[in-house]
Amino acid sequence: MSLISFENVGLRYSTGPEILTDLSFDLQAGSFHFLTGPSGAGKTTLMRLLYLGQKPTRGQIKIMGRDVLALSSRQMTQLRRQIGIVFQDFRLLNHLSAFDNVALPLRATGMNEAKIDKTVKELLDWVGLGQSMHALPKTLSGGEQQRIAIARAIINRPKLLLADEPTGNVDKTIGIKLLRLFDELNRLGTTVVIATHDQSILEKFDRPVLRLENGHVRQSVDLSGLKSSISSVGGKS
Amino acid sequence: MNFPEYKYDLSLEHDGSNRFIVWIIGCLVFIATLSMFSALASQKMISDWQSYAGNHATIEIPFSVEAEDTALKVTEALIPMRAVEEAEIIPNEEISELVMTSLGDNGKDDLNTDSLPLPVLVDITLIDGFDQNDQDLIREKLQSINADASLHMHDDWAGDVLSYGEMLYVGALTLLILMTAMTALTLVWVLMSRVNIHRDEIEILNIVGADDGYIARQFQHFALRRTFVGTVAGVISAGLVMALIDWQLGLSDLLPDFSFGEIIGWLAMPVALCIFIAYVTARLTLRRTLASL
Ligand SMILES: Nc1ncnc2c1ncn2[C@@H]1O[C@H](COP(=O)(O)OP(=O)(O)O)[C@@H](O)[C@H]1O
Ligand SMILES: [Mg+2]
Repeated sequence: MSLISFENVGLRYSTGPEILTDLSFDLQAGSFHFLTGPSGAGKTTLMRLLYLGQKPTRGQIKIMGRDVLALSSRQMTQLRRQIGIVFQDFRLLNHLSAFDNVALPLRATGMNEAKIDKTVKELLDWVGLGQSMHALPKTLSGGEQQRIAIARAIINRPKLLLADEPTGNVDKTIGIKLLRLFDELNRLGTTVVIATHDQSILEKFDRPVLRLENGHVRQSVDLSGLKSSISSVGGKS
Repeated sequence: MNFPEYKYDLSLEHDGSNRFIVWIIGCLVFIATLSMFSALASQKMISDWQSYAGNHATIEIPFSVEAEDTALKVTEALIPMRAVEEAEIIPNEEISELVMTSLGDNGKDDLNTDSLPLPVLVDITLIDGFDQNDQDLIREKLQSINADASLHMHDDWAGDVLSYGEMLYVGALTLLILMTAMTALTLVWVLMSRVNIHRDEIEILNIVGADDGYIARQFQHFALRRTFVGTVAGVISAGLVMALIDWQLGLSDLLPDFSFGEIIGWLAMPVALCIFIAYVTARLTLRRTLASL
């Protein structure tokens, strides 16, 4: 079953040029994909489409079988609760403790505080931040902040987990550990998409790759290259 | 003022303008509360005047030898009338006394009021809700008895006082409505700018699965909290100012006869009203503003 399907998707920011053009692909439920391409190719933009932070200007996107342009705000919320996202800059709420940041998705669903307390503490222990749960993000290291961001992304047990340049802001060993963690979550059934421009990671983890390729910034995506990279690299796994 | 701890996901408490909002609302409510009591005072003034002047009229029978007889005839003729509840000749002494006061002390020695050509006055009390037709009937009756007798309606001269009172009343009410509207507008403005300021945080909450209702509740809580503090401060200061005026000048005659409980009730009203307005305003504003993001 395809969890994500793009059909002739195009996107432009306001009146600018099309950043994504004629994008068509399917991602199967339970798969693990890297999304790559040079800086400015549109990786972050594509991520935005995936977590419903942006609507396509044309074409059709279906996520978990639902057309994202036809969602009511209620359905949008329901869908978002099944998607976890780790932003490149984490986007933690800096006035909230590590605990409260991770608790956000649960509070939003109206879960009772006792259950939230238990769930969040367990997860913070699991990512190794049990000791720092009352700390404000700014007082923690980049790697620790990222683990808060990851905990926040997975606390709802999402079907789809997205991460934008997760190895960009942490050193290499942590980066590798991180990808093992995503691998683990994928084994448990989560569909994972990781955007990265780091070629060494693609080589180290043999996983299918979506390649956004264009020589120039703000040019259309090389569709044939994309398609072939999905079929060729995807075919191996 | 201490509240049970409320956890905002948005950094609504981390903004220097919070105290400013409380001040604005406090001032608006202060003026609104004073306006409310001014409205009450002018309303009492109007009803006092109306109950005194409204149902009373005086018949004047010019001085003559038969004046007293005429007055008797007039009372007898008026009492059976539908519109007349009571008719009473005002005793001569009362009239002389009135005259004496206006003449001053000197008059007492020089003049004997008995020798003055004073008119005879009849005080009549009319039923509630008498109309122009009743007045005309009384005038006709008077004419038939004595062509010189005249009817003076008190509300002729009370009219000026009443319209003055009404002006005060309308002015106070207008101010009250204006201040209430300003409070609502202030809240709309604060909430709309706050939604803008916290756009990024709202987006994050949306992305992690919070719906508009969840986000709106945080703003609502914030708005209600500020409004409550501002309103209570405004009402308390207005209460203190009135207590001060009462102590210095005496308000007891101006205001209706309130028990302590009633005063508390009236003071609680602006608080309740503002909380209600804040609630409704916040709901409507947020629903629209969040939907437009
Ligand atoms: N919010 C935005 N408004 C306008 N242009 C944008 C916005 N975000 C990204 N872009 C442009 O879109 C292109 C792709 O950016 P992005 O998706 O961030 O690429 P990548 O993540 O692959 O580096 C860039 O040219 C960038 O300048
Ligand atoms: Mg990027």
